[in-house]
Amino acid sequence: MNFLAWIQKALAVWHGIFSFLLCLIFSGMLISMNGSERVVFHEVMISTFFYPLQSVISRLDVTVRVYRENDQLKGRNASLRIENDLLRQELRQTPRLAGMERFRSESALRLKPGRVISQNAGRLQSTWVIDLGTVDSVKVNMPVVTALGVMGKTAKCFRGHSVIQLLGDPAFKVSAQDDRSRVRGILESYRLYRLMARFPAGADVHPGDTLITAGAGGVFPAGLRIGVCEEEVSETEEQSGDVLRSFRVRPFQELATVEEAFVLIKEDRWSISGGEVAP
Amino acid sequence: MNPWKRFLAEGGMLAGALLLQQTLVRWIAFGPVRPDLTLIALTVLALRRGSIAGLYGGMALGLVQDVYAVEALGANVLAKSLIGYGLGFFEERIVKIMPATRVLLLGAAFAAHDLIFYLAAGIRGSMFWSAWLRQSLPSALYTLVLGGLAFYYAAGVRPKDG
Repeated sequence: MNFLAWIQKALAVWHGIFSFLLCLIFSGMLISMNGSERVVFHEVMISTFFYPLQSVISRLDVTVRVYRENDQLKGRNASLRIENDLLRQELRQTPRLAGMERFRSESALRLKPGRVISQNAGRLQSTWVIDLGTVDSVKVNMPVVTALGVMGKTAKCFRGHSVIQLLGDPAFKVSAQDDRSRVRGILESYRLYRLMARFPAGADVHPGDTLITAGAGGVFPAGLRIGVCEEEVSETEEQSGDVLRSFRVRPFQELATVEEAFVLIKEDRWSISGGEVAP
Repeated sequence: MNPWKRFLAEGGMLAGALLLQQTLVRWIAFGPVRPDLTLIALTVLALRRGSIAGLYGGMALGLVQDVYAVEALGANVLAKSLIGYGLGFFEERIVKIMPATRVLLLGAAFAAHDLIFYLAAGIRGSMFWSAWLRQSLPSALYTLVLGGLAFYYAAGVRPKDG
């Protein structure tokens, strides 16, 4: 009893110190979690407390932004109509049958539109949550794109929502290809928020070249637009020696403006560029 | 003020800061440079209510942010609760603080927050300096400008033109 009374008295007098220690212990427990434990923690919190809350916040957010989005979409719609007419005329005139075949294939893609219902709350943008899940036929490792280009891929799928791993995630890598010279390389995150494309030394790549997905790896079909090569990173900054050429990449899709995205529903093994479908 | 009303008001302030951080900030951000409204709200709370409120307020804010950033799980909780606790020692019922001093405290809090965050998240070496110079420093200046305006208006002192 004396001990309990002492504990009560100590808690009353030193509640600040106890709170501080409690917080340190809690933080330490979170930091010391391994990868799988962190994922479980994330899933439990998202699926129980935060998903309904984020859904409500997202609806409010959509209401606030709808007027601005409407204006932007009107302008973009007019621009795309004109661009679409011009592209149609060009496609009719071009003798390249392969290009037409690819266009036909692309237009037949099975795209599932979804709304981004939560974003990474920190300053490091690595994962988002979208309101499409397994009930919408969404599975893990499906490409997530917008009209402008690739955004990322599905990393975790739940019944009504999925976690998207964005291009900027340090663990994200995708095989990329120079659209002009057809040289293949790897696109990955660089210093937390930038993108870097690495090609073999001597590769024919120049700033301003467009990067598309190469189709290797089984997640992204070949031919999806990624971004534009910017300046080449010097050897002293990148320390890749004379083995690789590294270019900073500006993605076509700026993440700050994304509110809706498409999940590309696909089977595991296929290709849209060559027109061949794996068995 | 009724303690429950005060609790709800201050909790609402933190929730509002989180909400604005998720919605408004993306429109006023310059690429990776974005103000940290949650840190401004935490500074206001800790200076008003002291260390314990700052500690738990920071812990709650950090936990919400950490849930969406599992790669740095615990780093936001640790950084924000320590900052809230530390700022609470300058509680305005004990220490008289001018608005300019609050802005200085906010700047120090931002620097300490990012330092703790990067270390706890395991970001070190060249990546640490790169993140610090290209993201933390500009974001800190941006936050100080917004925080300064908020403190001046909250104190009823409007900065003179020119």
